[in-house]
Amino acid sequence: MTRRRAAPSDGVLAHHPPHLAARGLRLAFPGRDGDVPVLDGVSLEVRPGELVALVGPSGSGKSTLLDVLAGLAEPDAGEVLIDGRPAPGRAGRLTLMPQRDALLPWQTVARNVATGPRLAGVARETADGEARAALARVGLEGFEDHYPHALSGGMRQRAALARTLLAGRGAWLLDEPFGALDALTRAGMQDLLLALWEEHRPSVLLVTHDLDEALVLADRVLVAGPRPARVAGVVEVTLPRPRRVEVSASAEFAALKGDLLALVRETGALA
Amino acid sequence: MRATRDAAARAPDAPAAPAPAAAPARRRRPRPGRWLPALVLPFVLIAVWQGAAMVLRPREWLLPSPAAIAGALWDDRGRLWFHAQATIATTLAGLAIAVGAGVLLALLIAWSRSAERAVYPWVVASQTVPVLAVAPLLVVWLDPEPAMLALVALVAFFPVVVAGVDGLRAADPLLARTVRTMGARPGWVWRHVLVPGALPGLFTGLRMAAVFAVTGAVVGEYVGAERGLGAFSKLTTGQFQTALTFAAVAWLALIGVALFAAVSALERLALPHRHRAVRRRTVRERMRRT
Ligand SMILES: Nc1ncnc2c1ncn2[C@@H]1O[C@H](COP(=O)(O)OP(=O)(O)OP(=O)(O)O)[C@@H](O)[C@H]1O
Ligand SMILES: [Mg+2]
Repeated sequence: MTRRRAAPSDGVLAHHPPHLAARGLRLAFPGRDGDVPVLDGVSLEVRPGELVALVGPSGSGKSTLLDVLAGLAEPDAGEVLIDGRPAPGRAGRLTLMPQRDALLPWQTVARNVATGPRLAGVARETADGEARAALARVGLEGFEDHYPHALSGGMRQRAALARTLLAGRGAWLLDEPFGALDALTRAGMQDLLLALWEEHRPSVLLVTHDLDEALVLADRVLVAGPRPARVAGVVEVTLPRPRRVEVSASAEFAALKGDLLALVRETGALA
Repeated sequence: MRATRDAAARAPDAPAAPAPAAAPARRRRPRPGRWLPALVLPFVLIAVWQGAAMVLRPREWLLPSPAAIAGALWDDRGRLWFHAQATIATTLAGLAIAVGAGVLLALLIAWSRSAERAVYPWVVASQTVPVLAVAPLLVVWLDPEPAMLALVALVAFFPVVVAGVDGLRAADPLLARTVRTMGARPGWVWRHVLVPGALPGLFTGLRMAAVFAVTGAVVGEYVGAERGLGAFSKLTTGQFQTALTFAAVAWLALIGVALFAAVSALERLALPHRHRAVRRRTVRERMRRT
């Protein structure tokens, strides 16, 4: 088993360009006493079919970074590459699953989940069928025709995951998808995400501040310090695949977590 | 595996059993007593009024008794209906113009900051125009018919604009941004996110506009028309036929309430059932789980 901490630019594969890459992203929000830097030269890569986690303290700029990657905000400097090419006007190419579920309250769960296929021009019945299948996959059969408000928080989060599954054309940006859930539900959702990822192999950038979650799910964990965000270090997660949440009980896991904690402490996030 | 596993175990928030699609059991059916509360107030008022009229016997041109008004409503029903038709037509046409213009302005103002700066202050300023003072001028400038429509539109478009702008702006930005990352173009976002999100607020404005429109029509008719309940009440007060004036007022109230109810019915059609049901909960119901 090899563990290492390295600069994120290491390990670029020669043959396949990374599915998603950020180079030196900078962004500042105007504040009362001048600009407040939020992204301070963020560089990262997600290779095709790779699941990368980004951990960082609250308010460090993780959601802002995902907005920039998704094409919802323009950085002040730096660039975003998709499949190795600059991608201006990239909104719509990387599907964002935000911190809150963001289901449309006036559409049934099935219609919400069918959003991706419908936008891609798939016929209504076909899209509906895909949505129902995806809902069954996340354990929500019987709730297709309910409105989101009639679902519990965890169920809504699953519906949102099903929607992302159908909409994401191979690349997902997940913003603390399970942050608001209780520990048991969260473990179930992590298992579900692992299974869906094994099935579909999307390229995923997952933001979280749960170190265990990052290690259970990811191939690599990027660590960002307090604001302004920069990628301060990486932990390669060498745990065997396919995984389930039980992997967090292994000795290997404990050792990796020690590494990760040490790295997080170096960034000053624990101070 | 050491831990025992229950075959029926499932994720903690999974339902005990798949619920039926529409859950009709919980839905409240309208009971026959639904309209009763609305009748309490007029009943009490009319009883008191009638009693006072019988005891104090005021001159009928000063304050007619409810019985006299009821008589006027029935005896002159043909004339009243003739004038009511004109008022209803003016109200509906003016309201249609107000809604059309109001929605367009709301879209424009909510869309662009510079449109907001250029247009919104004047929309507000238009409401400070003393309607009674300009109504005669409008009648002189335009013909009576378009003048009345203009008047109705002037008083009714304002709540539509304000409710429309606030409704569009109040939309949760996360919804629009999320569907954009799934490839939604601006047109799709308008149709499926912004407009549906603004509809509940817009209907609040429409309800107000419907009632304002009746007032606008009456003012217009009072000033510059020969037909319509406004013109009719001017005529009858001039002739000291006060019972007929009150009969016209009763008609106007009926028209206002009917329009308000019609807009509410439209809202019920436009908003999907469950979504609407949540919105229509009373404040007390909101504090409990229903
Ligand atoms: N529109 C904005 N204007 C000004 N400052 C902003 C804006 N959006 C975010 N910020 C600031 O940027 C910083 C990063 O916000 P962001 O939402 O990206 O944090 P985060 O890392 O996602 O935090 P959390 O883990 O709590 O979700 C915060 O300190 C916040 O105050
Ligand atoms: Mg965040």
